[in-house]
Amino acid sequence: MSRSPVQPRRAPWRLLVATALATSVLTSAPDATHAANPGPDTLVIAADGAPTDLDPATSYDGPSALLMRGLYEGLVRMKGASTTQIEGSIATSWASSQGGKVWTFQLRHNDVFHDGTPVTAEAVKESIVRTLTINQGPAFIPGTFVAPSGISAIGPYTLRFTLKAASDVFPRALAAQWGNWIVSPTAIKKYGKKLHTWLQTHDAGSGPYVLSQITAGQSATLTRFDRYWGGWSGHHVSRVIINNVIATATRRELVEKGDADITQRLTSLDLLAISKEPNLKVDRSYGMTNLQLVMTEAGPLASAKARQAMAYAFDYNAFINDLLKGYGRQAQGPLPRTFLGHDLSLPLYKTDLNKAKSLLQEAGVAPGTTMTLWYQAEDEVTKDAAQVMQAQLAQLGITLKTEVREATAFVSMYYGNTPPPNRPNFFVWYWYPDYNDPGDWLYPQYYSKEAGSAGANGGFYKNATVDKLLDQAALLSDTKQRLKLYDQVQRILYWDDPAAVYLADLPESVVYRSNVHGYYLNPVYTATFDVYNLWKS
Amino acid sequence: MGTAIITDPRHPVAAELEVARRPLGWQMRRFFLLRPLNLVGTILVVLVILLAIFGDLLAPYGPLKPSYGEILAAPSPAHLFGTDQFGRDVLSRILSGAKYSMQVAAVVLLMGVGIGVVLGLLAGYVGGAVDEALMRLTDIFLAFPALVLAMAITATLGASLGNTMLALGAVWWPWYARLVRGQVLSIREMAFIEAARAAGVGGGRMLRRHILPETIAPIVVQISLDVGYVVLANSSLSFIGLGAQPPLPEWGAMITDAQSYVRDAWWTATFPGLAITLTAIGFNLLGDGLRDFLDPRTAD
Amino acid sequence: MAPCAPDDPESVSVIAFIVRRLILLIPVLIGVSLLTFLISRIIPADPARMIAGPHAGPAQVEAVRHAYGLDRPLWQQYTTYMGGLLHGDLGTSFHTQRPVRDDLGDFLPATLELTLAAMAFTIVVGILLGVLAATNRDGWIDNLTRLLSVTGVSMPVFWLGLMLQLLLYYRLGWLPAGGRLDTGLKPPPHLTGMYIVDGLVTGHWSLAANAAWHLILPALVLSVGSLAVVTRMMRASVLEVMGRDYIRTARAKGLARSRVVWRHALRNALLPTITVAGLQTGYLLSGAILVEAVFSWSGIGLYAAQSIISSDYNAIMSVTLVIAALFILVNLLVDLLYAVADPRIHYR
Repeated sequence: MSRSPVQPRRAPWRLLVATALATSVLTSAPDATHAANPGPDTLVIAADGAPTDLDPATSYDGPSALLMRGLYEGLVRMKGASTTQIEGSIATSWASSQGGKVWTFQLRHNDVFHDGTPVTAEAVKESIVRTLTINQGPAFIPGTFVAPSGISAIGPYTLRFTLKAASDVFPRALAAQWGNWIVSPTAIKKYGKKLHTWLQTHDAGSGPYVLSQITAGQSATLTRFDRYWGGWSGHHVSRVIINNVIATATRRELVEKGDADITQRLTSLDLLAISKEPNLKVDRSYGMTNLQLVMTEAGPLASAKARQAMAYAFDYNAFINDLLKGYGRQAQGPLPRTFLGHDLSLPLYKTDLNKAKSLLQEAGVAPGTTMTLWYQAEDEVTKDAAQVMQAQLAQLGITLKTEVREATAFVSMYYGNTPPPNRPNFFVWYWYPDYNDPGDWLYPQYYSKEAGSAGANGGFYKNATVDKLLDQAALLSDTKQRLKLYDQVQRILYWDDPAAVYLADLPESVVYRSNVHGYYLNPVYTATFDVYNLWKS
Repeated sequence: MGTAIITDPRHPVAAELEVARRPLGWQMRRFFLLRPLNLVGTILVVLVILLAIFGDLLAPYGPLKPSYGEILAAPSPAHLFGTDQFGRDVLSRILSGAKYSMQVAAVVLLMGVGIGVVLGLLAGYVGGAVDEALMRLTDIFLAFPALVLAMAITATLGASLGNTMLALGAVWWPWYARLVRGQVLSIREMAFIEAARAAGVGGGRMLRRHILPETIAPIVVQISLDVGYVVLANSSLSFIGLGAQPPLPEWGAMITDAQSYVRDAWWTATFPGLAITLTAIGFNLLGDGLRDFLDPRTAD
Repeated sequence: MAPCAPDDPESVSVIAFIVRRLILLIPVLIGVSLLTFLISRIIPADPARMIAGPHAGPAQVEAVRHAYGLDRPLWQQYTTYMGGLLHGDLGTSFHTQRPVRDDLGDFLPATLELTLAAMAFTIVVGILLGVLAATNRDGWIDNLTRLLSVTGVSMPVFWLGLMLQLLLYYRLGWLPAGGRLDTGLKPPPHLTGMYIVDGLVTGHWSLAANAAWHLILPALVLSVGSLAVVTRMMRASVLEVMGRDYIRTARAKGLARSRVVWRHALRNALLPTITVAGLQTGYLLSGAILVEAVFSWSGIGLYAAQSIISSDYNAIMSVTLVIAALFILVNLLVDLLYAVADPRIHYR
């Protein structure tokens, strides 16, 4: 510090070091630039976050998937907007034998990586083995079904998988947008251990676009790969610019001015205003994301009755209509309506404070009880949900303390092993799928042994029947049979022994300019676009 | 110019004591006449303090009451400052929010001054290795980006007004420590302290009767200035989401909320910011005035 | 170390002063690093889970934990980092998957650019206004300057940024809302990382111009606080110098007032002002972070925030140390400047 006799006036700047961006700022500070739109041959995407990891073996977040969906391919992918039909990408056809224990894929012959290496069965095998061996993040998506020893290239373009157990889910799992992207073996050999770092600034894929430029945290450019097997006749953009624009207000500004062509994750007030604008379209298709208040099965919420009371207490109408402005619909159980196996006949909860009151009485929860709710300061929606619950519970004489936590602290508690009586009573929680199968959705969240750090069962939910049903389903290889069991599971999770207050199914709410064509939503592919099929007039 | 560090051994302490003996009313009149802005500052400060106490009573509407039919309404006779995204009256929220700023300032400065003064006195009076160690500690805390500390506290204990107070208080002490230490060092040089010591006055008594009173003036000045800075720092932390949580009508948090809507509803961000600014101006003017008044040699 | 009279038997030369301060830099930085390490590890956090994603199974989370060395004992993690620091290896960032050094190479220059621009504006305008206020003491300029100064340090920086953005971007469209360049523009070749400098040096004039256009508003907002301080300082210094005997002598001898001001007062008043400005640089560096938030300026602030949110330990440590070191060095430089320029200053 200065010893000068002249003491400068102290400014709060020291503390302003303390004021870096946190999520709330990251989601709302404006950030835009004026630029003439680069023309009809270039698609400009205003993304709501920057990719954190572009190595397909380890990457597991939305913004990364947004890029990788255009740069890489997997063996198969979901067909168009269908959530159940699969089409080949690297593969052309596939068949199973031995009751679903062995799966054989025929690959197309003219597929080639961006570096010129042909996409052979051996190449695909090497890439998948790399993912399984590194065994981080998304590795469990293929890893649940097959081990490296079970993969063999039985011909130059024929790949055989011998699964750990017979299953018809395997192709659907291979269509997931994480864990399945195939990386060029030439790159694997050339860079070895350094490949992970190299892949952050280059791509080694075989998809329709090449990563021609990337500025970390700011923007990336995808340029068309002329030798893509899909060809370039018909309508396609030859360049895609993906800009990281964290602030919703700015993303909105950009699409309105035409400086961006397509964006997502705007606030419901923004969407309402935009729906009145002739140059913009809002796609209201529902994805597979839902919002829930996970309840910890302990303390005042130990009994099923108390948790049912909570489900009756929430004001769904105010939340959906006043706060989400209609951009969402009340959830009908743990699975989104678009999801495979969702039971559309389940009765919906209607807000009924009197019923809630009597249930709480039966459960022995007296007025004056205090409960805590944790939410992340990620967006307005979670904040709103917390406040609605607080207001409702206040009317039941229950004080709900809502506490915000940074993502890292939140996640650490949710996936941690703090015993249930010491955990918050509620977590505000989003969930979305890896792929379209109830096993993947329900098991990690509701199987009792998946509690704490063993899985994603943050509420320490424990129901013997649910456990039994999930176990039985895991042993079956025919999805139709499994769905019957999952049907029962849903009902228990929603009504008989509620695991969470299921708030809303959410639309993806993608906004694009009216001169953008070819947009469709596949609900399985959360927060990403099929850029190859987009074009501008 | 700078805080009033008394470095001149020939400083006429007697003259200061002369002024201090006059009645309070006389002093206050002189204070306001010295410069009109002192009056402005005092008025603003009194206003904010009154709002902190009576704000809730003065608010025309409840600050927490949503009104979904009047979302983001522009300023009008019914809502002088307009409404926010829940239809809540902005004026009422501002009036109700005054107390949070004052609470935070009070707690933070209590902590900061308390810790700082104790450590500063210790360092200055004891000297030697203790002094060195404490000064290194001060260096570390001054150089340390308080962000990590603030986020650590809020990540562990949760983001709330109380935890922000803790975080700010934990980093606000170094200045006071240095201030007091500097004062103590300077005063030790002074002849009359030597004389007192020669006459056999003991350490503790020396501290209380001679050293402590001399250090108070600059501390008072710094405190007055700091209230403004604490309010600003607190609003910055709220802005990031670390401070008061919704639905609390804390001024900084109001600006954060307003960010998403400001382009269509400028009033949601403008008025809370003005409130913060006027509060800080008031305390700054008051502090400046006090500084010039208490030590005219540093007047500019 | 405290200032003292030149004939004080315990005074040391400036060189010794510098050396002593530089040596002290090390324990202070170590102290900062320890404090940061402890704090970031005390926070309940699970970076392995953050990296692995919400859907990953426990086996994968463990694999991630192991791959990033997070399962090693704490003291070992600390020494590994500090050891790497000595080689210039700041570890890998969790949330960008790049070496932290590369990240800093991208983001730090952005903050420096912003800070330097704000500093330049502060000095130029501050000196001018300060002189004007001093030479028109108690006149309307003086009072206006005082009012503006007080307002300048009283406004929340982020609020000022928002208000100016609202006016100058949303309403008038004169300036961009943020970012360092227009969307889709590729930055100039990386020399210093500061786009204006790089653009000018490599001949990309339009890129440099575009970057400058984006810099105007954030730099302006950032400079307001320190502008207020520097203006007041300059005014006070000029007044003090003007009140000195030799100036009065010069005036008495009949020298024109303006000549007196510009030749004598200014020269002597500049020194304290520059030192204050230098000190403000340290504060500016920290304050830039908030401005970066409002204007989405991808500098060290945005990076620090993201690091803290994702418990990116290596990034947190590195950013903290860099900021602390810069802060201390700037203060040292200022003290140095002061001591070198005014040989009457001695320290002991």
